[in-house]
Amino acid sequence: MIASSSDPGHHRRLPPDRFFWGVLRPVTAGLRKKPTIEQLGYLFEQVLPVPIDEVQAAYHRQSDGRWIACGMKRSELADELTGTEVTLTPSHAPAFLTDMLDELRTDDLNLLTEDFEPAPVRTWNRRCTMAAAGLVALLSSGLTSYLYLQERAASSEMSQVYALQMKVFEQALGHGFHRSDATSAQGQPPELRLLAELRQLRRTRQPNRDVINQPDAAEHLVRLLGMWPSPDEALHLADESPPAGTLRTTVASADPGVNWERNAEDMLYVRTEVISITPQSMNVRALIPTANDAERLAAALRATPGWMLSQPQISSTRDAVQASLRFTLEAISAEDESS
Amino acid sequence: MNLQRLITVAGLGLLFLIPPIWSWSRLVGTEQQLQAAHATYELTRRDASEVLQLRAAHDRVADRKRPEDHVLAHVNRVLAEAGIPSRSLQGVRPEADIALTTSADAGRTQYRRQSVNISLQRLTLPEIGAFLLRWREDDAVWTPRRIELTKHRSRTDDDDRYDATIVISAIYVAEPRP
Repeated sequence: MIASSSDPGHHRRLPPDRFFWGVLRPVTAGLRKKPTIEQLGYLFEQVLPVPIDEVQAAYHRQSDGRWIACGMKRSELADELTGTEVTLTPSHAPAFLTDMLDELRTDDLNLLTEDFEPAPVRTWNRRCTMAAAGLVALLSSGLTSYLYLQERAASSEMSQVYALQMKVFEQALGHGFHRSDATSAQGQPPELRLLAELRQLRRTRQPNRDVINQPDAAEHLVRLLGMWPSPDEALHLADESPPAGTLRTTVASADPGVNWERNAEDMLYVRTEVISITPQSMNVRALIPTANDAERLAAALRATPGWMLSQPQISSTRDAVQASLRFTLEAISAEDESS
Repeated sequence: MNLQRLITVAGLGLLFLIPPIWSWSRLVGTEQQLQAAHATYELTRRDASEVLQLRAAHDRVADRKRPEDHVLAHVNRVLAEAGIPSRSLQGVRPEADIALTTSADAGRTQYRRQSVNISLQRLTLPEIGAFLLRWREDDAVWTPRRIELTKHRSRTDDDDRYDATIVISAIYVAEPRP
């Protein structure tokens, strides 16, 4: 054995002839590009004079895929150590390797690992590991606490939303609603009660347009009588209390059948026999002194909003003329014309 | 780094990761529940507001078919309110009860129209007007659909009174279609 050369400090270097050397080709041997330490050990063992179990080895990968193996018998290494070394590496590569390889950093071939790892290094590593673990634990607990607080805040907000919802139920469902209903297994859930009531109200108070748009004959009667020739005789159904005096002579404004005295030039005497209002049509049949008066009545009623007056039918009776006026809804008239 | 140390570090890392992952999953679940609660609350608030609004409105449609005696009582009440003697009422007779076909909501809610024929006699026009006015104020569900005023035949031809036939109709909600 050649005498060792020691470097100053804790980084000890030995001449290359103190080591076993090998150039390993894992790919050629059918292994992966990055084999395990055990696999490299088996490859290295093929060039060793002793079993690999008796050798402390270090490996370094070259850029071309080859691995440089460097080892020393464990017993020799143990004898060599003084207890102060932190690393132990070859001082330089052997000649046959420098011829083969462009570059080899022997600093990467440290044999003081695993079982030979120096106590200070082991302690330092353990401390680093503990520090890292502590930091991770701190981060983990901090993150967990933050997430927990967020979750609690969300739960609290959810409780508030639920309480608000209960208030809304109380307002909407009235006295019949109690908080116990919300959790009672027997009572119907307030959500369903509210929905059922809403559906019922929509059906009865907010039906679709086809249902709402039902004709109101009273309105049509008001419109018709509102167009009656004498303004004083209009029927105002919309008034709170229709004054009887203004309606007294609405339809029959004179003493018909006896004589048709006129108090004024523009007075129109009408004795109405029938007024019929249906959703589609209105009919007025009346006795009137003259055909001219019948024309006047038709002219006045022609302007009834929403209705279209057909050609008036006039026939003579014993002492008057009978006028029949037929009105059709303008919408229906327009449809008939278009068809 | 040997395998044992690697496993130890990985185990510790996993151990430290489990609590935040568990908390995160709980937070995600709670936030989803919170979003659902907000959505439900908004829906409830809107529905409740609509319920209150609709409660303030009048019924446009009856919730069920009204029996004949109910209509008769209704007519008598309106006659009394309008100051019309009850002897003016000649009769109340039910008419056709037909299903309505609507373009919207087809197949969801079925509506029917119930009609009743009211015969009144010897009414003045103010009385007819008062009756129709009180009727409208009393119940918006029943609508006069047809009105026929016929001059009342009496001994004195100057009797300015009419016999009125008023067909009132009410839409009501029938049983939903199966």
